[in-house]
Parts: sequence; structure tokens; C-alpha cells
Amino acid sequence: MFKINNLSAGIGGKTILKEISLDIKPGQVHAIMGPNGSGKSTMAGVISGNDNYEVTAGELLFDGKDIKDLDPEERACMGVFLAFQYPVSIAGVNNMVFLQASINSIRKYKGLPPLDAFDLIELIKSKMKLINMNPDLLQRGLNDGFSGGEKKRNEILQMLCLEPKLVILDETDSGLDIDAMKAVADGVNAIRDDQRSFIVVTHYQRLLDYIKPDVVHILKDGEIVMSGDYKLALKLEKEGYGWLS
Amino acid sequence: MAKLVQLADSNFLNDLDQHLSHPAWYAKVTKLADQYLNSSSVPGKKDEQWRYTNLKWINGTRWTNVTKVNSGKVDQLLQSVNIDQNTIDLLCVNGRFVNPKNHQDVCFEDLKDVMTLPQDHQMNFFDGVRYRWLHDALQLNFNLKRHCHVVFLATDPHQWHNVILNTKVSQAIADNMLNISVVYPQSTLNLEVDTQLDQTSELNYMVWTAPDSKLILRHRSQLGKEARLKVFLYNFEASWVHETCHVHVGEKASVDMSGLLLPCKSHFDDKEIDVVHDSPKGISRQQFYSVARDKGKAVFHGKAIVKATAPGTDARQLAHALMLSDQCQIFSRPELEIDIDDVQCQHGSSVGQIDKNALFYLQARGINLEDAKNMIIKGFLEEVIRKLPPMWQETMRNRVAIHGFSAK
Ligand SMILES: Nc1ncnc2c1ncn2[C@@H]1O[C@H](COP(=O)(O)OP(=O)(O)OP(=O)(O)O)[C@@H](O)[C@H]1O
Ligand SMILES: [Mg+2]
Repeated sequence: MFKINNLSAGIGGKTILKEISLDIKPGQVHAIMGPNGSGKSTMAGVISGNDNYEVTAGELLFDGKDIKDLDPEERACMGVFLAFQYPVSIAGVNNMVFLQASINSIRKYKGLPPLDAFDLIELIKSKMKLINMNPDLLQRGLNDGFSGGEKKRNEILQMLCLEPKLVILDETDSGLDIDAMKAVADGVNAIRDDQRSFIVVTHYQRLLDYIKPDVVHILKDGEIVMSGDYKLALKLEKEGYGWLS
Repeated sequence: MAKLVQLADSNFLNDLDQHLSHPAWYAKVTKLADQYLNSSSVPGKKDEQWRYTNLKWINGTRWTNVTKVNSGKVDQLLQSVNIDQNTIDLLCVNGRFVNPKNHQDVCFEDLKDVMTLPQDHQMNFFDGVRYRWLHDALQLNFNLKRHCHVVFLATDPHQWHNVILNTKVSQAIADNMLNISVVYPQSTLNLEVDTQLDQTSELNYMVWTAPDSKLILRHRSQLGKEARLKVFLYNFEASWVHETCHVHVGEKASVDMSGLLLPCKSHFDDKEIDVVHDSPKGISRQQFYSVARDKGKAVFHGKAIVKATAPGTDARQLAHALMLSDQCQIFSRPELEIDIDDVQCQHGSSVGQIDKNALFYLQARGINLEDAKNMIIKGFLEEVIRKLPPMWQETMRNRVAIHGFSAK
């Protein structure tokens, strides 16, 4: 479904990711763990097309097609979704208007007619319920003044509405209270099926209790230094990263 | 007169003389203006307030004077800027106030007792020109009418008109609206709007300038105790605008001024704002947002002055600007001048490009680059538009969309 081959990338001439390879099969959940600054968000940014980063080598094969030179909007339309570690706030852009624009651009790409206001509201409200999100947030500016947890819920709401094929969650669990983490996990589990794949970046094994990963990778200094199953996360939780070096 | 001729070698001011007939009492004003003009000179780069202002076009224009009004042209122009004739309460065509229904001259009240000249230090060159060669003046009283749409219109290019509109809002009438539209394609309006708000009265005041117009606006406002004034200044594709606002805030009175400066092509838009607090507990807000494109130039010079006699004042200023091209220019200077401790004052200012992270966020949700930019710009403008009275918001959004800032 999604394959990374020998990917190297950096910023301003500085190499951050070094020859990373990953093979994510349809329906799989891959967890990425690793110390601060190891390159997890860089990897997420590179996959979704953030041109702050330069890809210096390698391929990003999405359903067999290399997407590394595509614009971010095209990748999103194809089904790549990044839940941001730090979602941006844009005060004057209404959250609902933004969601509408996003949903309808992706529908247009797929050759579907745009949803009208009534259908949209119905769709969005039903998804909000799923993750216990305050409906008032829909009428506010995009992430404007949202609490940390509200922003993360808003990311999950977008994921639910857009139904992407590849979801990257970049520390979506950070800063969440236990109920909110459960709500996020419920959201993710609601759209898990045998086709949709996930890359879950996290520092804590707790989220992985709710979203069971098929594979756990450890990223360190821009390299995948170890891959294993769920037990690897448990070991990290207990022992930290010290034993790796 | 030497200085004037230097400014206007096309003789437009001399030409004005021949068409003006002022009442006898006005002679004293003419004299004052003459005195002022003789002691001052044409503004230039050395004058702080005109530093960024290009005045070359005044000399380069061949001025004409159209005294006869062609009603067909009036209708056509109004239509071209989507102004519904039925919404107009007062029309000023080619420098003369007329009845919007039949274009007959409006017989204006004698301004002798109400007309106040600005203090010498508040006068600038164009004020002098306006007083000296005044075309028409009118006094509007808001004790009769609550909404008033005044349209200033020039039927032909290369005209220059000097006009004064005096308004007075009487006590305890709330929710008054004064809506001014300036439709001056390739002509220049040198306008003064004086608003006097009595105790506890309220006024919403909006000025919109249509594409290609040139406007020199002097706004003077006097707020009585607990009066409330909201000012909205919106220029879209006006080619040259210089607005000077002087607001005097009375005890517990409040003024809220906001505006959009959207210069494109080689257009120029300059706002100079002085809010003076000299009585206790006044509130003032200034919120001006600029988006400059092409070779457009936007200048914001906002000042809040808090005198020692104004304890408990709350004055805030915000000036934010987006630059969309390499060749546009933005000068922004919010300033506070405070003579007393017991006040709350804040100002914030920013100039920059569209935030790359915000763009990426929208793109990562499938929205294409062009639409993403427009969404961000619209959102930026929305910060100001949503402060408008509800009945004006939609009109303004439509105008923003026509101006090219709309996401599909
Ligand atoms: N714009 C930039 N300029 C210079 N260095 C950068 C820039 N962006 C990221 N880096 C560096 O790249 C490295 C990887 O950063 P990245 O954000 O990918 O880490 P991370 O694994 O997501 O960390 P965390 O767990 O703290 O979120 C860090 O050393 C970081 O300082
Ligand atoms: Mg990170």
C-alpha cells in the first residue's frame, strides 16, 4: 500500500533522515517511536509533501506510484492524511468553511459532486459525536484559541470526514487527558479496516494499548535502528532508549 | 498664488474660481484659507505626513470641469458599482449636492453657524484648497433620519471637487448609520466629513471608495460624553487615497475605527489617524489591515494621544499587513503618546507574507495553493469585516470577492 525506499531527506543542507525504508501493507498499523529530535515529524512532513524539507534520495511509493514530487494537495486528494503534531491556527478562517472546502476539494478530485450545506453538517456532526467533540468548535476560527486537546480532536475530526487511505498521526496523543486519548483512539478504530493503513508516531505505549500496532519501529538520529512487534513498545516504556546505544 | 500654480500648472484651481459662487458670509473663510495657503507650501517628501505620498499626478492631469449633469451617465456609473439607486438618500454629483430622485439642487441650510474651521495646526494643504475653492457643503442632522447613504459621484474623468459634509447626531439616538460611497473614476474628491456626536449618541460611519477613484478625505469628529462612534474605511481599487482622521474622545466616550487597505496595480492608500483623549475614561480602538499586491503601496500612521487630563483611558491599536508581491510597499506606524500613568494602552503591528505553515496545513487537506492563499487572505480581511454592522458585512464580502480574494 505504502512503501518508503531508502529515503534520505534534510533541511537547509543538513541531513535528518538517512536511508529509511518501510513497507506498510493495507490495513496495517505501524508505530514509530524515538527520542525527541530523531526525525519523526520530518518523516511525517516529507510523506505529506512539506517543501520545507528536501528529499535527497529514495522513493515514496503510494499504491505503486512515486508521490515524492507531487504537491501536498494532490497527495491529500490521493488519500494521504497527516494529523499534525502542531496544528496551525488561522483566526479568520471559519472551521466549518475550512472543512467544507477540504471535503469538497477531495470529492472533486474523486469525481464526486460537492456536498451541500445540509449533508455536510449532518456528516460533520455525526463524526463529532463519535469523538465527543464540542459542536461549538465548528463555528470558531480554524483552531483559533482551541485548547491543545481540542486541536487534536479537530485533527481526528478531519481524518474521519476525509476518509484517507494512509493516516499519519504525529503525536496525536501528546497532551491529551485519558478520556480524550480514548476518544482519539475510538476515532481511529472507527475507520480501521483491511485497506486503510496508519503510521502512528508516539512517545507513549498507552495509545498503542488502544490502537494495536502490527509493527513498531524505533527511529534514532534519522535511522530506523530496530523494528519489532508490540512488545518493543512495552520495553521502551519500561527502559527508555538508553539500552539501544 | 505662486505656490498653487506650481502645484497645478494645468490651472485647475483658477478654473474652479470661475464656477464658484459663495454666499457673502463665506468671504471670511476664503480669506482664512488664502492666508493659510500663502504661509504653507505644497507637501513634499520632507513633510512627515506626506513622505510616502506621490503627488505628481496632480500636475500631470489636465483638469476639466463638468457643470451640467448627464443623468444617464449617473445611472450607468451607479450600476457599474452595484449601487441601487433606491438606497441613496443624498447624491453629490460633480461637486454639487442634489436630490437623488430628480437631480435637482438641494438647497442646503446656511452653514454660517455650524461650520467650524480646523485649527491652524490641524490644517493641511488640501484643507486649505478645499476651503478656498469649496464647491458645496451640507449639514446633515441625524435627529430626523437614522440611516443615510450619501453617494459622491463624478460623471466625467479629470475633475476635482472640494466638498464638505457636516453631520450632527443628537442625544440618545442609537444605531445611526452614515454610509458614504465615493464613485470618482479618474477624478478626485477632496472631501471633509465632520461628525459631531452629542452626549450618549451613536453613529456608525462607513466610507467606501470605488475602483479608480482618487480621494482626499479629512474626517473630524467630536464625541460628547458617553457617545459612541464606529468608523469603517474601506478602499478596494481606489487608485489614490489619503485619509486624515482626527477624533476627539469625550468623557466615557468610545471610538472604534477599522479599515482595509488593499492597494494593487500602482495604487496608493494612506491613512493617518489621530485619536485624542483629553477627558477621563474614554475608549479607543484602531484596527487596520492591509493587503498589498503588484506595486501597491499602503501607509498606516495611527496615533493615540492620551493627555494628562484623561485618566482611565483605554486605547488600543492593531495594524497588520500582508505583502503579496516583491514590489508592493507597506509602511505601518502605530504610535502612542501618553502623558499619564493611569491608562491602559496597547499596540500591535506586523508586516509579512502569508504564513507558509498555514498554507501547507490547508494544502495538506486537499485545498490547492491558489485557493489556500485566498482563504488565508479572506480570513485575514474577515478580522475587520466581522466588525461591521451586520447589514454591511455581506456587501463587503461580495466586494472582497470581486476584488479577487475568493476561494472557489
Ligand atoms: N527548520 C529547521 N531547521 C533546522 N533544523 C530543523 C528544522 N526542522 C527540524 N529540524 C531538526 O531536525 C531534527 C528532527 O526534528 P523532528 O521535528 O523531525 O523531530 P521529532 O522526532 O519529531 O521530535 P519530537 O519527538 O520532539 O517531536 C531536529 O534536530 C530538529 O532540530
Ligand atoms: Mg515531532
